[in-house]
Amino acid sequence: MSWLSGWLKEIIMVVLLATFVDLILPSRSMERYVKLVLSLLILLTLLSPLIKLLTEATDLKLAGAFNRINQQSGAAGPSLRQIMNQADQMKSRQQQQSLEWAAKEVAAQMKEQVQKESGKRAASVKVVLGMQEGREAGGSGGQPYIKAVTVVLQPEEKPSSKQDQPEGSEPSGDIGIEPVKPVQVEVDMNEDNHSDSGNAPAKTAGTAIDDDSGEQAKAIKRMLENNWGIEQESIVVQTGPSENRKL
Amino acid sequence: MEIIQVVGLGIIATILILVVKEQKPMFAFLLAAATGVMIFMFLMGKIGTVISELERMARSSGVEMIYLKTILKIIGIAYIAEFGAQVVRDAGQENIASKIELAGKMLIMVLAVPIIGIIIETVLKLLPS
Repeated sequence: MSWLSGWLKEIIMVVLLATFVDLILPSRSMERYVKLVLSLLILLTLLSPLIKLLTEATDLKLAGAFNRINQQSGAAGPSLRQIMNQADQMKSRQQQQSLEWAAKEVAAQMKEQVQKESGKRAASVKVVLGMQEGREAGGSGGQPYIKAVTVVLQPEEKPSSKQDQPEGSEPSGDIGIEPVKPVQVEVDMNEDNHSDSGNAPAKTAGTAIDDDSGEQAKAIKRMLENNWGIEQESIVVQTGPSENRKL
Repeated sequence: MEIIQVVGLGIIATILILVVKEQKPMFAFLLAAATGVMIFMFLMGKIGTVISELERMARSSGVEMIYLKTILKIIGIAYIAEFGAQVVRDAGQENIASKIELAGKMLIMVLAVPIIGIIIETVLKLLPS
C-alpha cells in the first residue's frame, strides 16, 4: 500500500505546485502555455504507476531528454567535447616536447659513444624519434622508437689534441677550431614526414661517405646497432663538410 | 516591511520620471528600466526562499525532482520574459515586446516536448502491437 500513498502524495503535491505556479505567474499572456505544461506534468504523475510498469526509470529518461535539449541550445559554456579536444591537444603537445627532449638526450649519448669507441670526433648526431603507429592516440601507450640517426664526423685534419675537449664547452681562445654546432633534432610524428626523413639520409649517404672512412662508418653503425638496437639502414654516417651537416 | 521600500522606490521613481520626462525622455526611460531591475532583483531573493521551501516539500512528499525542476524553469522563463517584455514595452517598442513574449512561450513549449514524448511512448506501449 505504500506505493499508493506515495502516488497520492505525489499527485497532490504536483497539483498544489501547479496551482501555486498559476498564482504567481506574472501575466496572463503566458497562461495557456504554462497551463499546458503543468497539465502534462499532472498527467505524467497520474500515469506514473503505469509508466513504471511499462518502462523503467522515467525520471532518468526525462532528465536525459532535458539535458539533450539544453545541449542543443548550447548555453552551458564549453561542452565536454571541446574540453576533451583541448586536453588531447595539450597531451600531444606535451608528448612532442618530451620526444624532442628524449631525442636530444639520445643524440648526446650517441655522440659520446661514437667519440669513445671510434676515437673520432662526431660533429653532430641527429636523432629522429617517432612514436609507434596505431597507438598514437593512446598517448602514454605509444612506444617511442628511433626512426633515423645521422652521424656527421669531423674531417680528419682536425688536430687530435682537441678530441679530449668536452663538447659542450666552447674553445674560447682558439682560432682554428670552429665552435660546436648545435645538435639538430627534429621530431616528426606524421606519416609523410616519416617517408621524407627516410628518403633524405638515403640520398645523401652515397655522396657523403668517403672511401677511407667507410670502415669507420661501418664500425660506428655496428656499434650503434649493438648499443641501441637500431637497424643499420636507418643510420647514416657522414664525414666532413659542414654543409652536409644540415639535412 | 519590505513592501514599503518597494512602493517607496516605485513612487519616487515615478515622480522623478514625471519631472524628467518633459526635458529628457531618454533619462526617463532609463530611470524606469533601472527601477524595474531593482525591484526585480529585490524579488529574486524572496523567490529563492519560496523555491527552497518548495524543494523541501517536494522532497518530503516524494515528487520526482525533475518535475519540480520543470515547474521552476517554467516560472523562471515566464518571469524573465515578462519582465523584459515590460521594459521594452515601456520604451514604446511593442513589436519587440511581443517577440520576447513569443520567445518565452516557445521556450515553455520546448519544456513540454520530453513530457509529451514519454506520455506518447507509454500510450504506444499500452496498445497491442
